[in-house]
Amino acid sequence: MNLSNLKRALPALVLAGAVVLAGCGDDDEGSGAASGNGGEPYVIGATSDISGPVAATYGPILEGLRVYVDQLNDDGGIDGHPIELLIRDHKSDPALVASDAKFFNQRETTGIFYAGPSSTLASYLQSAQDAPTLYGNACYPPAPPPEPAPNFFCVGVSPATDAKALVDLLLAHAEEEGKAPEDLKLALVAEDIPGCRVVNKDVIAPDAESRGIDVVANEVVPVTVTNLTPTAEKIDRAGANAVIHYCLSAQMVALGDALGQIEWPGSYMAAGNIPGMIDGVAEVKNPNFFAFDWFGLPSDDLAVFDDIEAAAEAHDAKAPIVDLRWGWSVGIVLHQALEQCGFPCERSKLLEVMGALKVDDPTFLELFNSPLEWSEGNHASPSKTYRLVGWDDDKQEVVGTTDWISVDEVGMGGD
Amino acid sequence: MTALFENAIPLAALYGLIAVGYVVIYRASGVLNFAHGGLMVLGAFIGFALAGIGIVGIVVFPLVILAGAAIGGLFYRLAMRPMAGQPVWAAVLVTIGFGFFVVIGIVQMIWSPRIRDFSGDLGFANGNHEVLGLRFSTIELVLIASFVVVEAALLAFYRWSRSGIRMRAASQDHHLSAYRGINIDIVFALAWGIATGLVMYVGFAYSVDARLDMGAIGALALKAFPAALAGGMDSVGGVVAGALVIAFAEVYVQLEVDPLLAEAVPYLALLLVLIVRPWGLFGTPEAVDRV
Repeated sequence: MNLSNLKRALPALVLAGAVVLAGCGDDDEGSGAASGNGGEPYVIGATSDISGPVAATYGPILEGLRVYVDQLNDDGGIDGHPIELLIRDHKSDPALVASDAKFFNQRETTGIFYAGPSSTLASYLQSAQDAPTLYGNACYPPAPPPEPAPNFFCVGVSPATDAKALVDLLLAHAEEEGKAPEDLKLALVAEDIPGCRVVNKDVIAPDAESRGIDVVANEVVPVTVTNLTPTAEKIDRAGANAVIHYCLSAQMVALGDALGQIEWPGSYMAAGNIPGMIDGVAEVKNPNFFAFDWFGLPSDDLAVFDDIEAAAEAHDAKAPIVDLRWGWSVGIVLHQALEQCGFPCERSKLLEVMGALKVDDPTFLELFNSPLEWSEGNHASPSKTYRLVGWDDDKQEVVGTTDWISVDEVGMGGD
Repeated sequence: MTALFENAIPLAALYGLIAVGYVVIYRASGVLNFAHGGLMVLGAFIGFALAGIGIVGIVVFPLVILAGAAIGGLFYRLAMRPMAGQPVWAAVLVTIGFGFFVVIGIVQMIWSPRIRDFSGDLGFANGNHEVLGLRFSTIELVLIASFVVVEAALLAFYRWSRSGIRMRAASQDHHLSAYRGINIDIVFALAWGIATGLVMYVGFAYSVDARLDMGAIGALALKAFPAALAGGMDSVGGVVAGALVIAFAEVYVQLEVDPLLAEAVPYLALLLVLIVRPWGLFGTPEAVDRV
């Protein structure tokens, strides 16, 4: 290659190098393996949307798990055995989800952690075969009752249970405001994702109507929508005085902001347990914007947040501390499952352990607020506690605004 | 009706400013620059970083434009100039690779894809204002004013300035312009600098008005392309019509029909234009060959 050709090729080489570097950031294989000690590692596959369209929602769940695992390894691992996470980025692309599951199966990982939207679930289930799986999302089938798949487990509850809790909290909030159920004009909003649409149409709407609430609108908005003000205007025009929005954090926060911008006077309630929401509520500072939440908050002065913060700092977490809650909870569950499985942990043994796992240690309860107990008929949490959280102008932080309520897992009817 | 105008006018300004970026580069070099989305994200993050170190908002905006102009010129020099003589589609592929993979990859490595709200760091409140009975946020008004100023400035630039006339000449025929003593490298670098500075500014302004959401910015950049094509890929003035038509149609469908269909409106418009009048409302038929 002469000098002139080299000069022509140089920019392309620089770009290619940058692409390779970017690619390395996406597929960080082997996180956690280098730290810890000399024991043989438990190898766990972990795939999430790290850089795709809903990375802001699902990326931090994996990051919370990674930070927990890195800290656990620093502290000596599980009886001297570190956990090695093989991290992959599926970008919410069903094809990549499938290839990640196959990749983990080829590597014979002990188990798989998978976080991503419900639209990728079918693809995952088809490719993961019998791999023990921890799902990081609301517990869509086949985790909740009545017929959970033998290998699919979830640190949370089904969307149907969330939906029931949302209506309970809406009614409790209305009662505080002196409103009866029949005074409520409810608008439902979801993104164009099967799991979210179904929850609104088939679960929340009939439940609300059966309890005397008038459902005046059911809006489905695109995942890619750049401006939710027209949706806010439609809600206002429909005469709604309450909105429930159950889906992705980016759009839920954007709609909360848009409703505030048009000075809509009703109560807006969105799912607060997923990453991005608590910070979103804090950023929007709309006094009518509430999130329903399962987890403890930093404003509750919980010691576990000191642990998360220290681990996040030591292991270079980019997500806010509050967004690492779910992944940290998954880490505690994985830790306990592997500990009970022993080393080496075969998949069949891990499935046996997970099928009857109970996690109720104080650190987990501090964060998750209710024990997790999987059984033959339920691979989600048997019940969950919820409360509304919102912006407190005096304290300048997001705080709990209602008492905790407990809702039993209602299942998903095998759909 | 009020909601239609309140939403469509700022959206038209956004689409228009982004579409002007497409047109400026296309007019000069004949290349469709699909790096716009990545560059808008980069502009937002650069603004975010500058605001994070305490620089006040009024200064951050021009700094983002300057950074964008420098990055655009540099990108032309390093990546596009070596593509001279190569098929146009090869150059377009380079812009896609640069915008979608290099820029986004680097941004995610440095800052992560987390959605951010940093308007509070800029030292001013993005409050609402009533203008002619319509309500707009401060940033929306800034974007509308920016669109008007940019359109007027570019039309004057192409009509009366020496560099603008050279750019028009270069767009007519690169080789002949070079033979006549026009340094087309400088002309192209200038076009890339103007367009990149502009779209990085828009990316930052949008993020201040809404939130810094990489997905939303990328979608916005793609949806603005039909505005450029509808107006005419070689027509700076045509962008105004293209942006207004598409923004009003999109918001109308979002308000009155179905938000899901509204997302498809820009692409349906793109399809319609390609079938009925491929050179756009104010473009020249000659430009179609190059598209």
